Amino acid sequence: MKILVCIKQVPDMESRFKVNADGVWYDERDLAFRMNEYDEYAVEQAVRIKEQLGGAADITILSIGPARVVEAIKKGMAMGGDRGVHVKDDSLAQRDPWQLASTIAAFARSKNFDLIFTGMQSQDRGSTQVGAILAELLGYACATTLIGFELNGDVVTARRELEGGVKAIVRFRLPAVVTCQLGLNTPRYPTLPNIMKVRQKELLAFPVADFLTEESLTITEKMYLPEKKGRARVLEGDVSQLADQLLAILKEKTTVLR
Amino acid sequence: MNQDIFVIIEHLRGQVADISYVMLAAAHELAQNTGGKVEAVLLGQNVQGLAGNLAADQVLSVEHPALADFTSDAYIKAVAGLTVEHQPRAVLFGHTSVGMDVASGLSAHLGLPLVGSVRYFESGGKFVSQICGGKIMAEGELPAPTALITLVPGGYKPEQGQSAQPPQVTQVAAPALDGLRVTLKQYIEPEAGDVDIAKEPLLIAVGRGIQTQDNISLADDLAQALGGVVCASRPVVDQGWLPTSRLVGKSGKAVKPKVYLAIGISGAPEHAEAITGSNVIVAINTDAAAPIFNIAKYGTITDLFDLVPVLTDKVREAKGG
Repeated sequence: MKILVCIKQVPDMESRFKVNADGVWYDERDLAFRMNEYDEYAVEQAVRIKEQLGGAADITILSIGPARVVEAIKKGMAMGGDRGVHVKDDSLAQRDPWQLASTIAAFARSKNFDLIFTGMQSQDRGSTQVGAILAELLGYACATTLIGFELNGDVVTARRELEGGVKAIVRFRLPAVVTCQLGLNTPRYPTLPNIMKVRQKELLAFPVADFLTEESLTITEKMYLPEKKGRARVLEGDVSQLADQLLAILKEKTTVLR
Repeated sequence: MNQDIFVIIEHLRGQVADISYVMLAAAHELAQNTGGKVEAVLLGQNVQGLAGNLAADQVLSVEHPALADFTSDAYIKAVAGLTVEHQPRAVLFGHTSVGMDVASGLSAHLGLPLVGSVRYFESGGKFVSQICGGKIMAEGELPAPTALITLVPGGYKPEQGQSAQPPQVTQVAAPALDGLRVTLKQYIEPEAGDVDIAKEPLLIAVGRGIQTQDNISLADDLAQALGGVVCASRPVVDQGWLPTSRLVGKSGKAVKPKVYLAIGISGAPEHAEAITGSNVIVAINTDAAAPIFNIAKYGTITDLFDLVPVLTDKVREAKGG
């Protein structure tokens, strides 16, 4: 079983974001980057499938981006990936989902992956598009927003989210691209011995030009922080004063304290 | 190419989803700019009854057994056929798990540009979308020739997309829908809980900031003192610290309490869209840039672990005294 896991490295979402000088992406300076949370579930599910198959699977962890993304690839390898692929691209921020998906498709096309996992969305751009576009480009079955995954031979039975708490069970055959929702599993922490083993694993690097031939389809003209006009009235004071103010608000707005 | 705006109506088991009306409202705004018509696209089987209150110039209805339940394969093929034939200026989908799927597949299928997470259109026709969990807005011209859009709720009211006047419905033959790769086997209903948070007037909501399962008791104590009910955002429920019936958000319930007290919740779009019906939102969070402060009426930039126990004590005092 050949498995590809596509991951992204994103900033810590608690960061204070600023728009960069070009005005079309966030300023990446002073941000701490980590593996996209949704992708942790994707790596974990791939490793679980390998375990289920008694090790008879080969897992490639792929990420596109500048040198910093190698750290996320190594984490994926420490979680159980067999090999890393770094598609080197210093202009990641300017790529639209169409370009990213077609880059991955160009890499994956000749390699006959049985199963491709990725996160349901990235925490920064949040397009949710890359997995579904990739599936369509490769002609693979596609199931998104998965919260349950079972493989039996070459048939997958998966649980996907629909809307308003309703879920559905879907069934499809490999090859397939699936996108993972939070809660699909419990991603493992890499252990120290597994972190040490990463050094013995293969880490390939390719310039993005090897795979990227598509122009972007969408253009963002400018980015800005949301307007502050609708912002909350921020209460001031020490903890006791804050509690008093909250109590007054609760009294005014509800009947419970009257 | 024409200047019409297509809206892919989302419905689940006999009910039109609110996002469909929101899209129709957005489509009218956009159509004023392009000078085209608003056409609602209704895919399914036996769905004529759903067309009645759609605010559209025309409803294009495609009926086929393969469209009875949602699978992206069948929906992509059906929408692709209509898009190629009519070449509308834009096709709107809900930014829902279903809409995102179909829009992405269609984008690849036809090589058309797709802009996700659009919140509204400016009067000049530019899109305004959001990234980084709502912390940054992105703006641009509607891409050509046909722009695929996924729309998030919040920019328009569902009522703006409803009409008392039933629209004209035109039946369109379905394209060949064979070779489908994914089948839908079964729906799973939402878990029924001990309380229905959608009906509760006072909700104490906890998010990632609560950090551990043991700390949930801080919210429990406050809720008990106030006579409110505890609910949560996704990370807390994913950890199993509270049951799914207490999940507020896109994948859980939409709520409309008198007071929504958000403790350690950042207010990512998936959560924010489900609490906008609240009368008053009060937020406690250490991150001053958290998007929750954009929708809250009152906020304190304080550590919840300092503030919540003191608040609970004061509530008890106020009630006991």
